[in-house]
Amino acid sequence: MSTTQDEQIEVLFHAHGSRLLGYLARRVLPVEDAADLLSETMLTVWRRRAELPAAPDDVPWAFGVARNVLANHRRSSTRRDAATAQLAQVLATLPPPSADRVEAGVDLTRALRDLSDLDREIVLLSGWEGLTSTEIGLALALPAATVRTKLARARQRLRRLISDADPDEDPRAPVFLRALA
Amino acid sequence: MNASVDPLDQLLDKAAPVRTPELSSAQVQRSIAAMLASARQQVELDASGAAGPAPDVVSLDRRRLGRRTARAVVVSAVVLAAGTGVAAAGGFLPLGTGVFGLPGMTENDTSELLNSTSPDTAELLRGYVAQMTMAPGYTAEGAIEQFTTGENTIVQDAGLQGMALGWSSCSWELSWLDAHATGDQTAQDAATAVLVRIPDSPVLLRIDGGGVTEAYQAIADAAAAGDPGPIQRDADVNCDAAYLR
Repeated sequence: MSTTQDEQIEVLFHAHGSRLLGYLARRVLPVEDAADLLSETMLTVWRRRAELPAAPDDVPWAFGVARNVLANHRRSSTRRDAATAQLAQVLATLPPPSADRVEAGVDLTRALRDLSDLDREIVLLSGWEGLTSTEIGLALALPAATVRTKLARARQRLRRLISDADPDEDPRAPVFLRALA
Repeated sequence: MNASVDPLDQLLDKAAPVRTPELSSAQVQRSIAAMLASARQQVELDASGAAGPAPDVVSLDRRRLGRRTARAVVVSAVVLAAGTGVAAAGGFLPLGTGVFGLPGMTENDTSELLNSTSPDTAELLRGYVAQMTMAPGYTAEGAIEQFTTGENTIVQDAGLQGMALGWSSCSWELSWLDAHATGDQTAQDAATAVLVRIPDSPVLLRIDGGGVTEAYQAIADAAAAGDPGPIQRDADVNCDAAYLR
């Protein structure tokens, strides 16, 4: 195994592991499954290390790997190793969001349902993960200009949807992104 | 002047089910480090047990798959991953693909789909950048290099013009922000003069399926009003200064 690549992967996850974990934790229920998904992401990155781009492009590339892992996620009964189980325990004991955050989640979920899958992903990779258009392009294999176009359009549409939202709509609408699957 | 906060960004922040700072504890970091060591060990075990193809073989298979995928572009979208930068460096990829956008299939038009890593793509981009202006101290060379040597994607001519416009706009947005921060009114006025003209760019007529011109107009309005908020937000999301200097 190449020492340079070993070091690069170590640095990548040391610096950005919690960001990748956040990406997964914001998109899966129960949230502790994000630990399994991060573990799978790490395995995939090691296995595909020959394709690992140089820094800083390796960060959005790793987000792309995590996205694929998430897309293929099926809850399994695979036994967790100790480290993954420990992380799952941390995630399971995170404090629940406050009432106003839940309410904001409902509002956002309603609006996001009307976006395409790709537009939704672009908006959230920007808004939640803090990726730039170039980084989102690398993660999704899209030119940055296309991302920029889609992001501007989707954010405009989202603003309109949020301002037009009917507050009396069924409040039992599933919260957060599980509802978008 | 205080930067205004976009209500959409406020909602996104508030609605995030888990916030990244919640995942930055030492315990999480220790778990991640242990999981990484475990993953590495697992992969080494897999390799020593000949339980699958070696990494280079996997990579080659992926490259072949990518070429087949490129031929199927007509039924997918304006862009998709195909081939590798290595192939492009060897000059294997021509600029054109022989595939044209179908009406309604892409955001741009019915022009030919082009390979991003073709050696001709960089020259085409340089030509489009030359038709626009970059702010003093900025260059698109880094962005061109980054785009044309990475993973190959399929892009249309109008998309390349849109990229050049984006880099130009970014250079002036960053220049405006620098000038505003340092109180250089002359430089800020110069940047404003360019930014207010961008919404009228003919390139936007080709690439804008809705929302892009309005986004540029919001930047132009903010520049004219001396409000850094919208400009900073766009620069944070869309402008990679490292590739533009």
